[in-house]
Amino acid sequence: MTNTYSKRLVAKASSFWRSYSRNRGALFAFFFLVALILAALFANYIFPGDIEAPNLSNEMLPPSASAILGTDYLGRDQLALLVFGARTSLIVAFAAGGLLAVVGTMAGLMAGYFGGRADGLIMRIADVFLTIPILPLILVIVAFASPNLLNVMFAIGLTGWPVMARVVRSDSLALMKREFIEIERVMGASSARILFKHLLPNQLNSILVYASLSIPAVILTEASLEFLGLTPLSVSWGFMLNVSMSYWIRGTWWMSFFPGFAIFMTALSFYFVSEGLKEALNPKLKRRRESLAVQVAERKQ
Amino acid sequence: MLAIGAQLIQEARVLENLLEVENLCKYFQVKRTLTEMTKNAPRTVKAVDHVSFRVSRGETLGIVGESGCGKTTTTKLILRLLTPTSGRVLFEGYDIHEKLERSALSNIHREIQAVFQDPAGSLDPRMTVGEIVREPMDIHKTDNSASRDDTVRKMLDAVGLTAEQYNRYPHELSGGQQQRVAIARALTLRPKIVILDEPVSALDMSVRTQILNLLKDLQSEFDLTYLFVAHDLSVVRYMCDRIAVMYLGQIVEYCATQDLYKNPIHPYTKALLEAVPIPDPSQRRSSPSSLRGSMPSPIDVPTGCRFHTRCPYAVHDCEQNEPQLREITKGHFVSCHLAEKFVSRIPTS
Amino acid sequence: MHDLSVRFYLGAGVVNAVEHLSFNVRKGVSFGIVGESGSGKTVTALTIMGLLARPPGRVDSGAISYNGIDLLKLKDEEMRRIRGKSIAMVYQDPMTSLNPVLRVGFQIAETLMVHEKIPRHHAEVKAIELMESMGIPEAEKRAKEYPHQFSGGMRQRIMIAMALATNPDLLIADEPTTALDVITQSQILALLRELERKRNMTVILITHDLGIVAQVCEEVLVMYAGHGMERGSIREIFSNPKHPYTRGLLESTTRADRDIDRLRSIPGTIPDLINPPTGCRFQPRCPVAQVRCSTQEPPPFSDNADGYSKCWQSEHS
Repeated sequence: MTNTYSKRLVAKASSFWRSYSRNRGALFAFFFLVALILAALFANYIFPGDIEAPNLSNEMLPPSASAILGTDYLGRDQLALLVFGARTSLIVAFAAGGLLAVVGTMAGLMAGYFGGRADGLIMRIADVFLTIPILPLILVIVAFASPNLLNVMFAIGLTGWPVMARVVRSDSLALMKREFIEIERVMGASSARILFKHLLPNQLNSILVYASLSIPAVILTEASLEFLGLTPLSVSWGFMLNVSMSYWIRGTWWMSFFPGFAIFMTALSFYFVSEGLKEALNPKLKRRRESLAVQVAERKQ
Repeated sequence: MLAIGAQLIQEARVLENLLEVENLCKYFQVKRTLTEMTKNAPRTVKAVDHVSFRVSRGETLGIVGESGCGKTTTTKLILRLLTPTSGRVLFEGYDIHEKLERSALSNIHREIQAVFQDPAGSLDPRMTVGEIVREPMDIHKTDNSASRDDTVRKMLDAVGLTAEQYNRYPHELSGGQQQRVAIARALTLRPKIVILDEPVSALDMSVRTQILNLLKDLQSEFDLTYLFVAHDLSVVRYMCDRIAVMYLGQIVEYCATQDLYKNPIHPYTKALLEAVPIPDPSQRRSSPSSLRGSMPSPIDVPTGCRFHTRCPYAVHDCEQNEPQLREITKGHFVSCHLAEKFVSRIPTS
Repeated sequence: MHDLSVRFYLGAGVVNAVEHLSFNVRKGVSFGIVGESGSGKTVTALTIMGLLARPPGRVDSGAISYNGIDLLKLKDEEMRRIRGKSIAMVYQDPMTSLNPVLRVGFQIAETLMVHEKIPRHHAEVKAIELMESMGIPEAEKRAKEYPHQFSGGMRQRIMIAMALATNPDLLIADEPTTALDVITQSQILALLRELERKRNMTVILITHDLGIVAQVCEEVLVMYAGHGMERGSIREIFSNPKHPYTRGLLESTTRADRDIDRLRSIPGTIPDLINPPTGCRFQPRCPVAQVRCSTQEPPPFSDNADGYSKCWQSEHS
């Protein structure tokens, strides 16, 4: 039994990969992110030594053979900084984004499925969180606890989930009215089953879209926090951008361009990946991509 | 001795009547606007009002009526998608809306199944046909995985679908095929009764008859009982043994199919039958329906007999008192003050 | 209509909505077009009215002769003048065809103002008259109301009033009663019959319901998958159908007036219009199909002036 199950899984996975890779943008974005993640993971090996150590003789050098992306105001190699900075950005992106997505989806599903008072309660809580602005919240956290990565993630996740919850809730409400959900209840499906096997999969579109839109937002929020100097984490793209603004006048374009470009590329990649996922997971698009002739042959039977 | 005898008779009666609906009522409260509240506008929608009927094992009971008459709400009450305001729904003698223990509830979910109107809407678009038909078995964890697949293939075969369609998605099938999937799913756990709510209304004519014939065949093959809800009087005549006609939440006539079409008593039934266009040019109706006005809104239900505002025979009594459903001739129940006068001695068709 | 072919050129393929359709409608003789979904009946109506969505749709061949003019050759301007004035159309869903934010009386009057160029005041008076003649009670008061304040049957009467405002010669009604209950339906159909008589108008009624056609029309065209399969008088079609599809339809229709033990259904499903069957479109489902039916499309065979049957079986009758 496990044999057929695992076989089925493998078959599903490979057909999924095939569908996904049809979208070249998504494929490219996927590899870019994988490369980024690997680079971030093995940053220590790629750039041995303490990259944060100032090297004052090499301050603010434009891109050259020895420093491909130039050096920053402390003379440190920007490429190395970027790769290490990727760690921060990626961790925040995945963690905060994940937190946001999970909490928001769960809240939205519950609100939509149970309706009535549960719905009201969840939405009022969401409203409370919506009104909390991020920056003061961070300040509060910084005041009470240490300004570490974990707290930053928490803060961003907490302020972001309500919008996701709203999206999921409205989709859930619409789905609840559909007849196939009613039939599930007639057949005796448990709430958990309906929530996770029927409501959730049919909303993957919106969830993925919103999650993919929120990750760039998360990265930017984190960058702005760094930018505003609220949480001086070790190395991050936001911090690099922050610093670069003071030196802009001196024409050190490489100090702002490369971190900015990194943020842009990462955000864009997440977006493309989610588009690819959307297409690959949509059963309606699956068949259309096969050749017309094959379709006709199948239909004629 | 007598007590045992009475008990046996009672049990026999219970076994005979698979489903029994007793004085079922469902009222909805409607939100009123401020101006409506000052005008003391009504706020209760009496969607289902004191409806009673029985479905015997093996028969097909039809519920006929125009949209808004409460037939769909009645099915939802039977399927436990809504709870009644008052009255009972008895399945094999047990009140299904009472607090039930898990095994009894699970039993009900397996024994009472449904097929709805919209073929595509009743299928999860993200599941394949095979997964959809397997769903009831997965929910109730019957057998094991391999034999479940086996059952699925058998069901697909029974409803006229090919094994090749096992892996298809609903949107790849035609309306008729989608409805077949819905039927296969409903029958997977061998239910005792299937509630069919307008199962063919959304299908093309040439497919409609295929599905109706399929339902008939499956009924004998799987020993099923049907509750068939529709608005089309010709379909109901083809499929049902007994029929209940509903108007604004109440049953106005309830009898065997033959009696309904040959000796209709209630004026509403008669008006409906006159209005149905017959596909026979030699039977042309010269005058339009003799009914006045249009169907009142279920929020603002007329006093007395609900039909009196449109009835060509209404008398003063009809406006004052609500008629009760009573047996006029054997097995033929009508809710009308003037019922006796309408009993025709000569059958109409 | 002669040899009309309408196709929709979509990204996924070409939809052969209507192919080589020919039929004629005589003045004053109510005409019914019967067909299921995909039969092409609505596309035909839209083409007559010049309302076909031109980018994806294209009239690939044919001519529509109306009072001696070929409608397909007219410019948009000219077609617009005819449409609404001499040829009017009534649609299926009155709720979406009426403007929800305009008063009903005004909407009827608008037609008159546009086509007959009469001043607003006169038009509104005429509108009220029209509403009365459609059997709408308290017309003067109700003309000031909005569409949502009317029942389905009333709205349909308003639609008909709008269509008849300019006294058209031809009225095309596309499934006018599908959204209505049976009793209202019979009233609207009776209204249409009466109007036909009184105003000397020709009605083309499009429907999928054989019962409606039998009650209202004198001549019938049966369409299937974009083709006109059989055309004939109402009596011929119902008592002596020549085409196997027509026969199949009649045999599979449920009846409220008689007890039937078992209906005979047509097996199979409606074909895909992008890749229709070769030869006769009905052949995969036809009980009497021969070999040549799948290779050669039969021409319409007729044994009298207007009627025909597009079937090889009818070749020798």
